[in-house]
Amino acid sequence: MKPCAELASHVARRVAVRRLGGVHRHFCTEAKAESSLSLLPDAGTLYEMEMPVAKQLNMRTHLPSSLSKQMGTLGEVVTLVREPIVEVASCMRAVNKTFPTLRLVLWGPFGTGKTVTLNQAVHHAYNNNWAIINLRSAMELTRRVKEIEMSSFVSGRINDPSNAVAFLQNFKQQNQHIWKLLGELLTERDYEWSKSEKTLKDKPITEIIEMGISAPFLASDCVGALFRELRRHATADKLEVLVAIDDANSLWGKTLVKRADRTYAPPSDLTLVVHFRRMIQNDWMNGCVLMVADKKEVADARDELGVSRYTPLELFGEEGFEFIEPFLPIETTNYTESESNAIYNYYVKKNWLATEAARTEEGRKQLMHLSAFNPFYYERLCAFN
Amino acid sequence: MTSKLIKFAQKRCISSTPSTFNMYDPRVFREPVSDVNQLAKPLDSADDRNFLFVKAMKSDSTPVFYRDSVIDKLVRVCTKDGEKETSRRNVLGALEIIKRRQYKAWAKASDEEKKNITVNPFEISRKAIKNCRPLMKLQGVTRGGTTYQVPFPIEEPEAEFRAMKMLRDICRARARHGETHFKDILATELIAASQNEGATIHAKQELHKTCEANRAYAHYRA
Amino acid sequence: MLRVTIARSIRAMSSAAPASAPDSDASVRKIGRALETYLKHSQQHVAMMEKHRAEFETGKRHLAKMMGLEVHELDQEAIDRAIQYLFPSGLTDPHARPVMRPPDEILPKFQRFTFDEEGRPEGSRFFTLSPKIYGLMSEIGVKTQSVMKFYDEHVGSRSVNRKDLEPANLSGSQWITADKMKKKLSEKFSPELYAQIIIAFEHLASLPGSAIEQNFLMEFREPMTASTGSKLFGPAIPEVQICAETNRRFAEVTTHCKDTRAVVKVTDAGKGKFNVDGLELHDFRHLQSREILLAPMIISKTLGRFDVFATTSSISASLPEAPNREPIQRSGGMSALPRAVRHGAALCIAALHPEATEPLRLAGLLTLDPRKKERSKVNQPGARAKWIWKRR
Repeated sequence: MKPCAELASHVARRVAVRRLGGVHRHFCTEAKAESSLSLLPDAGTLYEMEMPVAKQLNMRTHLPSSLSKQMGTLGEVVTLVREPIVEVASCMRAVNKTFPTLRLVLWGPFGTGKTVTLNQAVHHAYNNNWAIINLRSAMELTRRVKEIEMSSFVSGRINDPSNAVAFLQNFKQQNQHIWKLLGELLTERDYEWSKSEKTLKDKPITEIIEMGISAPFLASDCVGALFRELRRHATADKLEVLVAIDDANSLWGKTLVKRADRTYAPPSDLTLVVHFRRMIQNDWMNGCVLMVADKKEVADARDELGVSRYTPLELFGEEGFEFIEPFLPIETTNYTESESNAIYNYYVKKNWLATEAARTEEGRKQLMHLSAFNPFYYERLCAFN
Repeated sequence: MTSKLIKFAQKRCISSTPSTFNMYDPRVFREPVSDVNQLAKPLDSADDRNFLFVKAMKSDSTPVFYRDSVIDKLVRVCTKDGEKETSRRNVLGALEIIKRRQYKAWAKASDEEKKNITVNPFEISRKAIKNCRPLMKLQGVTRGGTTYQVPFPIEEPEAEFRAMKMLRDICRARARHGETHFKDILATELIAASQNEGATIHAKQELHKTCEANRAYAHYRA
Repeated sequence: MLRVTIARSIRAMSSAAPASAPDSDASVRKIGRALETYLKHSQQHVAMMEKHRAEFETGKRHLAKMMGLEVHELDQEAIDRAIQYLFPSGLTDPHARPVMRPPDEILPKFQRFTFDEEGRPEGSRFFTLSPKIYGLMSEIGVKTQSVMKFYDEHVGSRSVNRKDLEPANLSGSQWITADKMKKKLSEKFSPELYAQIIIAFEHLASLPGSAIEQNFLMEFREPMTASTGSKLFGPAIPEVQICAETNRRFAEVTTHCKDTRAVVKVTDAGKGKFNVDGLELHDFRHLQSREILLAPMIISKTLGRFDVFATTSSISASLPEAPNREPIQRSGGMSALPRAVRHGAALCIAALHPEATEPLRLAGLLTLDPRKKERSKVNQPGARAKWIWKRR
């Protein structure tokens, strides 16, 4: 089921990075203590994301639907700090201007918290004033393309104005905390978007974003330019960048975009996909790329009984796997007993478990086992009890 | 001996002769006990189940802590085309929506009001179904070539069934064109019915009115 | 009328000892035709039995020689085994297979009558042609009378046990069938007579105070599940074994539900892990499937104690297929597969945790589900459904 040899090599590398991260943290605390990352709470504890922050980070759309509903009902975003996010945070600590970007892949069975971990990482990046490039789902770039435009920049490329504008708006919203800093970063060269519109050299890069938002037909190219500038500035140690892509394996998956000859275009023909792939490449410094390998790209949604595989090699495919190598796989797993108890106690404290039977000891045990310790099923079970 | 019998029976089953009778021989099989608390107690000595076979447990009656006969029945009534899992998802989803609404109201309320708000969705649905139960039913009776709608009295389980059926038909009619989901409407209806409001209660009252109007036909009851 | 001498000889014959042909024929002046036939048949029967017994003994010796055994070693069990070995039979009905048993066991019995000193048949019921069944009926009548009398005398008094004044407790048993009654009384009778007997028995059993005749009634009743001898329908509770490597107790059982065959192994002192064909519990995405799989643990209150390992297969896939039919690969869906595993797991848990046996049985988890998919019929859309009739 798992590509064993590769996993072994990854584990070896992971250990190396951990050690390296430790050293780096040590170095950080000594040399430049003021810029060291804010620390996460310990694993196994609950931590709350403040509502305004959650609103700015657009958690309502980025979190899985059941959790975003929960957010509306309980009026707060409380998540459990688990092993994967601790690992991601330690990797983010290792990011530095002399190392090429770190690439992390979150993988695991359905409902074990890949997306939640990704959003926790985004929040962590926010806390540390990183720039955040967050894509809700890469599948939207390949499968939910409402309108297409042929690119004028490179022939054969297909632009996707609506998704590009949506991404830029999201980027603008999520990076309000460093908007001033982004305003101080200047463009490297002149960008000639069309005959009439252009952005000159030494202008703030926020202008590119505004340009893209106001002119949808330029948005796809603006995304590319923005990424290019961000990479350049990150390498120059002006800022750190977190690239968080959910369902990243869809960048190498199927598309539903049709070309003029009525065949499906490969994902490499889509401008946005190309830009995001370029962002994943590790030829720039001071960044961290967090990807989620999700089965929804390959699984049949109507197959009620089949269980699809969820390892990175299976999901990214040969091509994608080669592209993202070397990377650190971070596995998300089901709850342990203590973790499920933490969630249970939280629900009891919030009075979320409304039935009498669920609040008994027997109810606690049955909830745990009926959900098979799976976070998704646990939440679903608690939702109606 | 038993295994031999079973092997023998299996060989026979290849021929797939039509089964015209119950696979559970009514002389030697009895219904299982479905309540956990009852299981813990020893069985009454006069009970048949002491020496007879017990039927296998049904797949939808596992005694988990949230098992509720009314909700199970509602799931069965709402099932379409044998898709019970879909129906269960709908009904449980409706319970979730009820709980979310009630919880929001509960969280907003002051301490005194909090006591009056039930958050438990099972309780609300039970109460709603109870409120929707009609007292009579109308049944067509043909006398002399004309069919009369004759009111008949009904038993408790049937009243419950008819309440669920009315509820289900109303929700289905509203969810037909897909503007809203079945579970959203079901949740709204249940909350309304628990306070004696809503379309289902209205339908019940209409039925009572018609029964009252057709009282003259009561003598057609066979 | 018969002479006393003849009557004597007849009496001698009617006793079990084999009688030689009566040599006092000359002294008999006149014998009734019926008795003559009876005597002849009796002699023939005795002779035939003698011959068959001798043949059986000879056959036994031959068989012993064939099987390389001493004759005295060859008991009935050994004979059965030898016959099964020498005459292998593919016939499914056990009655159709060859047997070798003592002739007294398998040959029809000869009905003998008893006669009195005068040579008349004893008992006036001889002339009813089925004396025993009428005897039983009158016995029931007498008992009915005595029960009614007993009740009338003792109702309200404290001298007798309160329980004796109640109807007999017949729960869990049923009247023996006509065939068994015939065997028990060694007499043939008509179905009408059997019906009358049952009516008489029912009346007696329904009377208050029939508890004093409990033993008499139970002679003619049999337990309902006597044919299996167990309260479990389906496979029995397996034996507990001990794993040599991990030193943990486990039990293993094979069962089925619908078309799914499951081999289930439950290990004690585990973590509550499931492995069904390599799938874990969280791979069953329907809540109902998980409920079913956990049902035995919920009822025995042992959540998280047992590990379940199961492999399933499709029964019909192992059958010889019709030439133009695709073999079915899958084994069970979201309901049948968990149910098969549930039954196996419940049996194993009953073995490993015997206190839970009775609750599990009463909850119906130790019962094999005998229901099957009914085949659809030709010219019909389903098993029972019919096409809608349309005039044209």
